[in-house]
Amino acid sequence: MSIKKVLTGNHAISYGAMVSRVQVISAYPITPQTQVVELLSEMVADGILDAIFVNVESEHSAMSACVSASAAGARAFTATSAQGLALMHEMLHWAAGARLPIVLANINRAMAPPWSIWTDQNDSLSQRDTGWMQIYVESNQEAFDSIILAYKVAEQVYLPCMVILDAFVLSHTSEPVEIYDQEKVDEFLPPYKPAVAIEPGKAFGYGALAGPDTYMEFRYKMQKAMEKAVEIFEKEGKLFGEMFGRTYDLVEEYMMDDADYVIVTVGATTSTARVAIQELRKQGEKVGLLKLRVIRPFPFQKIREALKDRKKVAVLDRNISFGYHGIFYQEIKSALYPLKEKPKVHGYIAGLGGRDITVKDFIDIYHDMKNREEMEEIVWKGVKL
Amino acid sequence: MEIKPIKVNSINDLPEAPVSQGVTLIRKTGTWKNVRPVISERSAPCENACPLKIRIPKFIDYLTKSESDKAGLEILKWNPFPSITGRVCPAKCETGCNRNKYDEKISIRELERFLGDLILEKKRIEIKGQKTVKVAVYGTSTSLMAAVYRLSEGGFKVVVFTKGQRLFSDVRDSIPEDILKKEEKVLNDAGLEIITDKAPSIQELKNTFNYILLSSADAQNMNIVDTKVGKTEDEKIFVVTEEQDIARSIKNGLSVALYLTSKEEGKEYQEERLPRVVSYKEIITDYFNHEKAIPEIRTLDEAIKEAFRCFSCGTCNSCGNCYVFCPDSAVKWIDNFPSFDYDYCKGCGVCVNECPRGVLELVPEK
Repeated sequence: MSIKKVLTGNHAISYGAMVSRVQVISAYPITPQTQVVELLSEMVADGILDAIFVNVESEHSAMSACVSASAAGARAFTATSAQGLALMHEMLHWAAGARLPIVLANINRAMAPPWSIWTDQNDSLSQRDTGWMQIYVESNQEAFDSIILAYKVAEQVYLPCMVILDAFVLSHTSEPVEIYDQEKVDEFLPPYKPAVAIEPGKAFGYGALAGPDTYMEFRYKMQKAMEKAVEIFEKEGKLFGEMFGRTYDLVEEYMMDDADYVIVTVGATTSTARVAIQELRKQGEKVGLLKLRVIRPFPFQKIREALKDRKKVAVLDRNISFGYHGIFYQEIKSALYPLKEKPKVHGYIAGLGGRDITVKDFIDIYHDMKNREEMEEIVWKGVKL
Repeated sequence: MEIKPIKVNSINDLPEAPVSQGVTLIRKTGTWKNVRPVISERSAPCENACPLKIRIPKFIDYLTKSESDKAGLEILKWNPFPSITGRVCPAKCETGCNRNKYDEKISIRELERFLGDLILEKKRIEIKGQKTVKVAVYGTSTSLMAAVYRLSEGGFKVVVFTKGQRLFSDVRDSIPEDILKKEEKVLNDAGLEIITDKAPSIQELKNTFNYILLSSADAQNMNIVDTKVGKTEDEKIFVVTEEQDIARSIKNGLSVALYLTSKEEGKEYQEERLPRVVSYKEIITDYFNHEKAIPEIRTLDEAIKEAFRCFSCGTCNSCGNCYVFCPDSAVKWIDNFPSFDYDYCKGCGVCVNECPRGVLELVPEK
């Protein structure tokens, strides 16, 4: 029988890893992630979780340990934030290139300098092109669920997956989380079988040299795996709903049926946006919300489907690609490009380095979008000019 | 192992994860190089300083491998009397030793004496070939005995006229009686004839012998045409020059013997020269510990211990650094000795840099 616990986002992640029966955990502490692996190390020490906890001296080594564990056929897990994720960068490519379905929980934290421990998405988005799948979650329950789902999808397409949640807003905030019955999770998530099994006595090189005659083929296969992951995320999200009562897709629509205007959000701010949408709806405004959950693989068809025939779209970015614009703004725009009748898309940058994004901010964004003509212009929400 | 290329026609020929499908030996990375490591021709300062050019690092190498007999025989190739020189030679080898600049020389002369005495029981002259040529040796000095030794080896019929003196007359005061007795026995066993009761004139000897060897002490009136091999105006008479340095005297004796051997065999006599000396700067001293020399060597253990101190300048002693450090496994280890697999050697030069003793060098690819 499932039980409900009051858990912080970090501990929800730990429980997610526990019920996924991870076998090797290797991590290095960093705020705001530390509690994730702290609880896991206790679980291992207490014998609740049958896993090996590998202490390492850096995040680079943490991912290296996960890479070798996963290649050897173990379900591997790690968690990190910001500078730690950046230090892992080389090995993130390694994990993806070697097709190892490792799951990593990244607690979104702004990159230094200036030093910050608060949330924004630039750390995980800097790793967007490493070949990792990325799930951004809105609540602690979704964080817990997404770990299980991440392994389920990753182990079918042989690509690693990040589960990403906001620092403090989720990581250190307690919410009720339903922990599912272990037997049911086991039924949903069978044991991991590696793409190429390592066997004693059968020698080969992992991550061997590929000349110009074969390298491209491996990259083609990775892209095909990503494309396949779109369908698998949808299929497994439905199955998850059937088994546990919570259905997940790559995107989620809220009050979109008749919406002329749409706000696009990623991560915990979605909940704030929901409240703003409710208020605006009360005032008779035809506004809806599109939440992006999985951004790699990028569900451009689902986005196009959801946003076609709308008048205007506002994209909220808790990140910035310096020299251009918010990263999700660019991607949403590119998804809409093939449409004959395209809605206007406006980009809003807000909440960098953990600055609060309030309900009023969303209401202001909505009105700004309605009146704004020029695209491409960056609207800095709440910056002290 | 059979090495064949893997042909990839479609993505279906490749696994999902990038794991090796064959061996990378198919790629002959050796084609990248523009220089290649080779075992260079170098010599040690000790062997260069030695008038006899005894291959000192070589015999020391045998010692480190506990092959004391081989070490002794190696010395005998260059010096017939290590028991004598090991006691009275001025040991220029030790003066030249690179280790002087690090802590202390190797006790080379002690090693020579120890090995000379050790091999003395087993020492015998191996006669190569049979010649009808007769040589009269007029005198008993060590340098003349060295000539006798080599001539006997070469198959000459040698007769020594002693004028009543015992063999090795010049070192009787310095070398123990039992050692010289054994040295005499070695010469006698090789068929040496010694005539003690007669002292014929040179003219008389010239009638019966093809060649006559004289010590320079008895040839003050002789005109020496070629000092290196002791040639005189009389083509039957050769003079072995006695010098203060006994090793040089022995060298003179050996040179005359070798010259005559070459002449009789119709070959051209060539004086031996050693290749370029390895300087102290070329020794990577990081690979050695500071350790004092053993001044007097009495046991085999002491000899081996002292041998291990040797830098072995310019002579490979199978330390294996090149093999260990080669990043491409292109140094092969065959019969306890390195060889290069040039199909895969990229010419990076790590082996050359890590050879502590200047044995390897990089040469440009043609």
